[in-house]
Amino acid sequence: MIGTLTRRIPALPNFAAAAPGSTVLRLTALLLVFYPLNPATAVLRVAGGLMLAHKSFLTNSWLWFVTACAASYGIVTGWFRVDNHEFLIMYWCWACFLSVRAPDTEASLAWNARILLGLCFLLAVIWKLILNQYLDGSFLYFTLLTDDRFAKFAAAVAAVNPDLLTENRHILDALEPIAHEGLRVGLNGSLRLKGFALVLSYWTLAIEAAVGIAYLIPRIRMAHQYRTILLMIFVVTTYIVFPLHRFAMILCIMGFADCSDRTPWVRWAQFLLFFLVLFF
Amino acid sequence: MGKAKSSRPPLRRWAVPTLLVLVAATQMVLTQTSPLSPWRGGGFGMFGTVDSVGARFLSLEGETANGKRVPINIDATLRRIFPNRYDALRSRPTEKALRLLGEDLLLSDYIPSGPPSLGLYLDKVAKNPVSRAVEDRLFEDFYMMRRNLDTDFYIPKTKMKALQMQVWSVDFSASDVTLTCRPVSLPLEVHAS
Repeated sequence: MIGTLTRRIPALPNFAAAAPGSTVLRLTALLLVFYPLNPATAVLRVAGGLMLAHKSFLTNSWLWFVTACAASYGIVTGWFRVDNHEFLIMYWCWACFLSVRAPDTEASLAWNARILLGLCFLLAVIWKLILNQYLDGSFLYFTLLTDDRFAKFAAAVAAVNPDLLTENRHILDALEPIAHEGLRVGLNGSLRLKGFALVLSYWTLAIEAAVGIAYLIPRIRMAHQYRTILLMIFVVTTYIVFPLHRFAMILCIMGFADCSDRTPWVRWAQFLLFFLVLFF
Repeated sequence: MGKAKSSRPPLRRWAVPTLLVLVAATQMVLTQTSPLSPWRGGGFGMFGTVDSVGARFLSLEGETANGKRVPINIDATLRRIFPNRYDALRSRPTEKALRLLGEDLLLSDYIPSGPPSLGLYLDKVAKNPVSRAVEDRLFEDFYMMRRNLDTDFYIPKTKMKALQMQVWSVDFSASDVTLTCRPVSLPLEVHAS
């Protein structure tokens, strides 16, 4: 049905016919310009800017090598400080470097995107299963109660006074100078938020597992065929609640790199989602 | 995709995914063998446990020149001076990392400060009996790192003879909505040379 619909929209350009590999590299350059990794911020911004300025830079393997080295420098110097999406951006920079040197850049980007996406989702699921604070919903309940970034959403969902959630954060921060063995303090809770956290926990686990399987196991045809849509569902449902722009954007770039064989409708949606996540 | 399969050497084809797997495997081992938070280290263990860096705390207790032990408040000044090391320390509080930060902290001047978030706590303690455990600690003499460009020049400054440092995390109980502190590192005492 979607295929029929998209065939009836003649104005929809087909990315597959318009060098999508270049679009993937441009989106990556855009991400590096606006969201560079510390401390090689200047190098990444200049490299990204050059790539956006002229096509010859975009496919220059030396420039991608410098970019990947700069991103790796940021990771190596702050190994235990940087977030996981920064590791993912670093891997992706190396994938771009290897791909621009490969005979078929687009296929190489697609391959790396598919495997990297599958692996990072698989690992995320494994961690959630082995850590004992996820399956009972307590981790997300704690996060919604105390994390400033999600306070607006939590307050709206649970109809809780946002001040109570802010107070929870203050309580957590105030533990630092007084922490001692067995110290126990209470937070402001909400039964509605607790229920929502449990539902959200299982939804996240299910969609992450579905995305991981869909990208890693082509033999499961149904999931593999709809992997881009599964990824988009994950991005929309997750990052509306947890607005982590850089993570969402790198996932969108990789999802876009992998979907050259998808219908134009799916490719467009994945492309636009890269920009839409900024408004989440 | 098939084209790439035949034209690219396997080493190059698998290079980046292999790097990801190696880093993730290392991170998994480190979380089991050292106090590394599952959130950090590139293993994609984020959003699975309460034990994130944001929920880890460094407690500092100093020994003044006259031998008195005082708790030190980790305020914005200290966080600003040692932002990366403070963050990395909470992420993986090894003895070496604690010692290195402690030795630098011993070089700073300290001044007396009020207890942290006192107003909030008094209010909270009054409302919630569970929080009473913090009450005694709040009325101790807290110290803080002296700010160089501030109006605290008239407050007598002191150097610490020793610092006791320990990193803590919290366990969250969803049933009674409480946090319980637990240590993630052994206490370490650093002495001024």
